[in-house]
Amino acid sequence: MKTALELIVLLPLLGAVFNILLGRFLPRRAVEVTACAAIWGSFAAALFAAGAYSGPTVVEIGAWLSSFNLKAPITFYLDSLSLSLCLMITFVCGLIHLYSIGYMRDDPCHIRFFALLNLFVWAMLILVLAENLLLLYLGWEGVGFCSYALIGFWYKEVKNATAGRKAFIVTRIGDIGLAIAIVWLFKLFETLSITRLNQMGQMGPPVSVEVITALGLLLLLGAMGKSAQAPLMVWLPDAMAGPTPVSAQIHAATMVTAGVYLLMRMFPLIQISSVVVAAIAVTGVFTAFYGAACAIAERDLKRILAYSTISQIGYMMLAVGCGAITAATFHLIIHAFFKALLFLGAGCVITAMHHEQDIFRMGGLKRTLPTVFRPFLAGALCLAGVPLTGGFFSKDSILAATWAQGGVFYGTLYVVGMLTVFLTAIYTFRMIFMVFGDRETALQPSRKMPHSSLQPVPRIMERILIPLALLALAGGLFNLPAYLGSGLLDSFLAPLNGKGGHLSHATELALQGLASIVALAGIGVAWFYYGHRHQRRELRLALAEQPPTGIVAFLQAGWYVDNLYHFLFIRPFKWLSAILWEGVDEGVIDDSLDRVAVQFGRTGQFLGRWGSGRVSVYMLSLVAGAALMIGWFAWEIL
Amino acid sequence: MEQILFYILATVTVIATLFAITEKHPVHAIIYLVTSFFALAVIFFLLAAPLIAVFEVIIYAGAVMVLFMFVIMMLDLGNPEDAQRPSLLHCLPALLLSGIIFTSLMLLVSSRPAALPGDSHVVSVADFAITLFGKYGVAIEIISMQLLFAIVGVLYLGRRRKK
Amino acid sequence: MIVPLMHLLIFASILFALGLICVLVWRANVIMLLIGIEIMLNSAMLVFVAGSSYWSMADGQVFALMIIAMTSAEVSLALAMVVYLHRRKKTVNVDEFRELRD
Repeated sequence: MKTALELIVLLPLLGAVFNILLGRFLPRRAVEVTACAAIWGSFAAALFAAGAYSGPTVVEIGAWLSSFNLKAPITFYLDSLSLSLCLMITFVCGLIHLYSIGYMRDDPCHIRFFALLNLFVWAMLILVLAENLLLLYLGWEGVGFCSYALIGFWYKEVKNATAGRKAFIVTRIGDIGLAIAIVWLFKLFETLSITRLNQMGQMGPPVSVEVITALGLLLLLGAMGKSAQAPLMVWLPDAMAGPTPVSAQIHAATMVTAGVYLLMRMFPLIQISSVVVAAIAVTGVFTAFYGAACAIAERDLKRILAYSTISQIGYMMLAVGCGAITAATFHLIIHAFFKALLFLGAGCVITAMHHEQDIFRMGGLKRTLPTVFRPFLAGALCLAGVPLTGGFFSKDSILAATWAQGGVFYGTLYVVGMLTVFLTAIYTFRMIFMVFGDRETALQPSRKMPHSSLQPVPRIMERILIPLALLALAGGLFNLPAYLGSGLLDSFLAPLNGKGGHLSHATELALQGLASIVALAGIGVAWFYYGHRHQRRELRLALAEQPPTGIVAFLQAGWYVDNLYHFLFIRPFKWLSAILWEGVDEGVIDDSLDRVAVQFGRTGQFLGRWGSGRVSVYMLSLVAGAALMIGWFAWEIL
Repeated sequence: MEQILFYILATVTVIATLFAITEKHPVHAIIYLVTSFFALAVIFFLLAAPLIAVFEVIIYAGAVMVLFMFVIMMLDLGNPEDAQRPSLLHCLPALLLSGIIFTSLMLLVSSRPAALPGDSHVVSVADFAITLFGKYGVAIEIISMQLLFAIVGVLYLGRRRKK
Repeated sequence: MIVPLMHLLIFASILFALGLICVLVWRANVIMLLIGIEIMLNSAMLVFVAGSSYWSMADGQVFALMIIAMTSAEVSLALAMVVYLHRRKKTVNVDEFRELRD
């Protein structure tokens, strides 16, 4: 077991280091193969660990930090949650590595890319497997750095570098919350070991509930930053400036789930405070609604998927907020599959369309790209929550858990969640119809696509989509609801769940039926507005040529949150830094020296005028000096 | 008797000097100064230094002041009545500084314990001559050389240049 | 001693102060400058003679003689310079002669 865990973590790190050091001397194929082999080797080790799994274990690999009473050794904690996540991460990232071989075919910086991808997987695995909070923080920061480096991968364009910086800075705000929480936890409990902290939580509140509330809110802040929840979600849509495999790996499958994972990990401790749990739920559902609302008006294909990610992670947070860790994990895993699928499919579409990303300029790809269309459709069905897909079961388990909590508060959350399901279905199929549906008018040539022929998509990119599509559709089998049999994940993860209500089979069936109706209604609305051979679609296309107005503009600008932050924080910061730069640095520090020098010069000039050459002045000075000396002697006498 | 004389002469000296320094007309100033030197010479005489008194009159009042007079006459400095007395503002630093020096000197002098006088015999001319030529013989030579330098300098400065 | 030494010293200081005043008030006029210097030298001579009388030693008088000799040499040179300078600039204002500074 110990070797398996070591291998899981070390292989991606070794792959990254190997590529960084020796990549220049090796042919391109060798670099790519090393990178992919590292991840698939890690997956094999994870399978082995899964086979040998017999219950939660703590494995110490080595010592790391140790001074006074702060002990942070390299310890891994393997329980059902971390094991499932390890398997998911290594599998999905392995597929994405293979995809990147095709996507980055023409890029000259492939060494940096693959090294960073490997490094990222290493950091994520550290995060997931960490047993103490400092090691988790190491992984946390590691994924933050790698995402910054990968988002700004094509840094020669200012826009991309700015997007990377924005991601880093906004997640930093969350990281501060996490860092404060870690230090505070250590001060309160003298330990940073997650297992011991959770044990203390389970035995009853060791400190006052207010302290736990504060700690929980700080952890929530950290999760908000990393998982792009409101109000720290502004970085994710801009992060689409990175290459599409990066968007798939980081922003669909792994990094954005780190925040949810943190809350799930520390749940036994923070569930003591009901305020924190409620806050998590509210954050989740609000963000879900926000993401869906913005995605409806969005025109860029990758940004639609980005908002969709924000929205779906909101669902996961909602699940954590209802104590249903199982439902959150289930949705996390299924979401990883279908969101990675959608992103990779979008990558294929974008490559084919010569990097055109506006969906209003696409169309008719159903006929021209059938191998991309079918998996993409599968992913979209999952996302919309069409009955019997994996997405349906996972989303529905979350909504069921919300309803099971009972009470007006959770009831309201349920209603908003349902509304978001509706919106999700609309924007998903809007996307499908616009991209793949036929157009009455011919494909409008845009400046990126001078001729209407498509660029051929590398075969490997299309082939990768297939296993993901199958997993997404069949994912429901992982955790069938109670009336259909026992859920695999349910029993696997049950010890982690918080207090929640239980639903009878009939209620659960009714809720599922309601969810299906809502999803299908959403698809119908999308068909009505965007389906082909409808005039409304042509109307929409014509309207798209003009700049957006009214509510569309509001939604497209992300509810103007970026502008708000600019007004509230960036403008005063720039004003302050201008003052400090011109006023303090140049004015006080630089100019003070200048002014001192000038004053010296002036004093010197002033004194210089004493030697004017006039005897009368000299005479006076002589006598004055003599008077001074004699006067001083006389003064001494006094 | 000598005491009263001394005080009278001291008063005369001070008043004469005072007038000398506040006169606009340079010739008047010189005359007042000569008066002051005369009184001073008599004081010297009272202090048992007759030789010095004589030398004061002959050389100082007689030669030096006459020299001054020569130069003033020769320079033709314009109508002295038109000259302006310096204003009070101009005089202020002078009065201030000299006041400081005077008071300091007085304080310094009065703070010292009184020195013991020597044996009270009067210094005669013979004593003076013996001291001068015996003890300070070198000084005489140097002084004579200094006078030589003065003569040479004056001659050089005053030579007529061919225009 | 006909009077206490202190009185003589006070008298000499008054003379010295008067000479100083003359120098400082007439600091522009070179002739009055020289007159002030004369007065100050005289007060110094007075102190020497008083000391010689007080301690019954002739050394004070000897130095008074030295002062006289030195003064005459100095005055003659100074006045020669005054004449010379007056020939150049037709003025006795000592502030006019500033070429040495430049």
